[in-house]
Amino acid sequence: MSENTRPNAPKNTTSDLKEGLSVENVSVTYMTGRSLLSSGSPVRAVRNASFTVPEGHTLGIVGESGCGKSSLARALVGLAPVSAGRVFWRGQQISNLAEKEFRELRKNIQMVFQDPYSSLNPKLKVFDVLAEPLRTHMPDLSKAEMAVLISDILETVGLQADIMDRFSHELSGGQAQRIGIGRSVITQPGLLICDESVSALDVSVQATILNLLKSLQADLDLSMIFISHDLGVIKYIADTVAVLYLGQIVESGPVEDVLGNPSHPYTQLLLRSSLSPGGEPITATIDDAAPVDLPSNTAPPEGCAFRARCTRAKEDCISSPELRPTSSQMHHAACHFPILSEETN
Amino acid sequence: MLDIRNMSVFFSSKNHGVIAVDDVSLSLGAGRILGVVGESGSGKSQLFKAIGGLSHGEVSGSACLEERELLELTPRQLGRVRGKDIGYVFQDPMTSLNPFLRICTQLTEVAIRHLGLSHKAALDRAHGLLQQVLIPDPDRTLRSYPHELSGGMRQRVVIAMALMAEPKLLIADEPTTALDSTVQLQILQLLKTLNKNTGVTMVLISHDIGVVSSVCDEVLVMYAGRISELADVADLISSPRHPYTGKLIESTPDVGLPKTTILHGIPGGLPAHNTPRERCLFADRCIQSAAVCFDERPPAQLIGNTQAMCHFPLQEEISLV
Repeated sequence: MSENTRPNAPKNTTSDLKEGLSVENVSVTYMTGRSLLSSGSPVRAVRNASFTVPEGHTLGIVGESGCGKSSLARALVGLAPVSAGRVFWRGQQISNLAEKEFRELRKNIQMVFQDPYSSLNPKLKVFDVLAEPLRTHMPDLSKAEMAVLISDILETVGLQADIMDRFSHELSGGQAQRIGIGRSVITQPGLLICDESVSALDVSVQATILNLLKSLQADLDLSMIFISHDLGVIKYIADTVAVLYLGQIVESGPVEDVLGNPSHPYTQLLLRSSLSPGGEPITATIDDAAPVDLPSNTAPPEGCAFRARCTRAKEDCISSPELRPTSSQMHHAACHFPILSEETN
Repeated sequence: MLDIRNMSVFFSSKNHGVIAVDDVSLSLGAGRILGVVGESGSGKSQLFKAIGGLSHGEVSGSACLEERELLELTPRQLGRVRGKDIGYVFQDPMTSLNPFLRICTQLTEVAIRHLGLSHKAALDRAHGLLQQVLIPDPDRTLRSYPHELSGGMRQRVVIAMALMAEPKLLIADEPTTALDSTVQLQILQLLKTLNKNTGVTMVLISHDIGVVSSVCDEVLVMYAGRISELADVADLISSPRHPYTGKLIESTPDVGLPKTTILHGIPGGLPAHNTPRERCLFADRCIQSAAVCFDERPPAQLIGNTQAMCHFPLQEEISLV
């Protein structure tokens, strides 16, 4: 798709990277336990997150369950409420748009989910699964044009044309996820949000899907947000990474910087927990004194949320640390006592 | 300790049968940790469910635990073996825990039934085991219901429950798959510590070769119900002999590798259930398969201490950066 056919072409920016997505101080808050008598208590799933994804780049988001990574992604596509802050896509504000306005935008921002089967309608054949977004977003297409687009997209995602007549339960996990990806990119979006999109797949298939996403990104000039709990996957696919802990970004920057020289003790803990075939074997010693559970996000602790689990925590950690540049201007960490790169070597 | 000979598990249905486990033989020494790795449908879970009588398929072959043939036992006898001699830990702790009973009831039941302990003695034992699995407040945990605990705590409780009757063999089937990586590390360290301190023999089943290689002494790689490779962990990682193992390692994302490393994956998928059995089941996805791979079942070849079921086992060392 050429630049001038896009409805919201970016205004010329002075920086060399075109700003695709810009997220400013976004919070996502849910209310739980709401009843007749009580207004419920707020769960602060995402707190004050800011980042940008330049056009054609991939931002990886990592964190443990409950850290808010999915809430953040869902807020960007209007599936969760943005309770504070603003989201811009190519210069246009898109947070909390009315459903009708959002529908127009969804053509441009698409999502790929974790479970390839539950994200495909089991009653539809593959052809109709792929035709659905076209009917919604490009109602003027003729049947013949639609068929061409669908067979093109099947080729793009590496599937044979005869798969069109099958139902999703007849597909393997890898095939189903390819259809899920095909369905998301068929409207030629500018931004693709992948929420644990390869986590349910076997590693041999996972690698082929990651490679597909990489090549799609290059061919279609996609911006991508890739959410995963797997640091190896993030390193493979992302240009920059944001580490989320209890709803807050605790470290961000170029993926090789952050994962090669982590500044935040939490990132370091995640790295140590990431097991790989060539890695150090686990020894029969318990190095973390006592297992500590993730604090609750209905009542997040004051100050640094990680301090209860942190081996470096001191008195200062009672106050909230700001994201500050560490090893470079691009690499930020929210820690009073960041790890210096000499320490890790 | 554990000796499995020619074990197969077969599921029959109206239209066709599925061979979930196909002629698997292995033996495991006391106090060792065996890792079992394979993708979905490889038969890794079925094999170890079958030795405890938990498989719904038709099981054939032989499985001896300390000279005792398990496959000839009656369901009642097997029930006694499970819990007493073999402890199971599954992926979802709630498959082992009763949501309506307090933790203390569930833990003491095991010791009262299998060890014949008094209630008081069983409770003491439960308390001790919760300490051993590093639960910070055992008294409170004993009084809790499962839903009041976090996922990591529940899995610790299940491990404690599996160890209540001092089993000889602990089978952990994807015990950390549903957990966060930081909790996974703690649970794996715990399993390793228990193995060292109590000498319990372990089988750790996982889809994640990173998990298996970090914890185990030896590794069984399964594909489509068959053994691909059985080797000491260091040999398996540094010089895999079966092409499938090599590809599996090369497909695994690793944060320690340079960003420029390319993961290739393995094109294709598992063979259909009606694929002829007298051939290599990986041949369609293998880069080095020849005519013989499609006509003959690959023999078990021994290279050093590694057993590989392949017509053309890899001879070169691959170097991991």
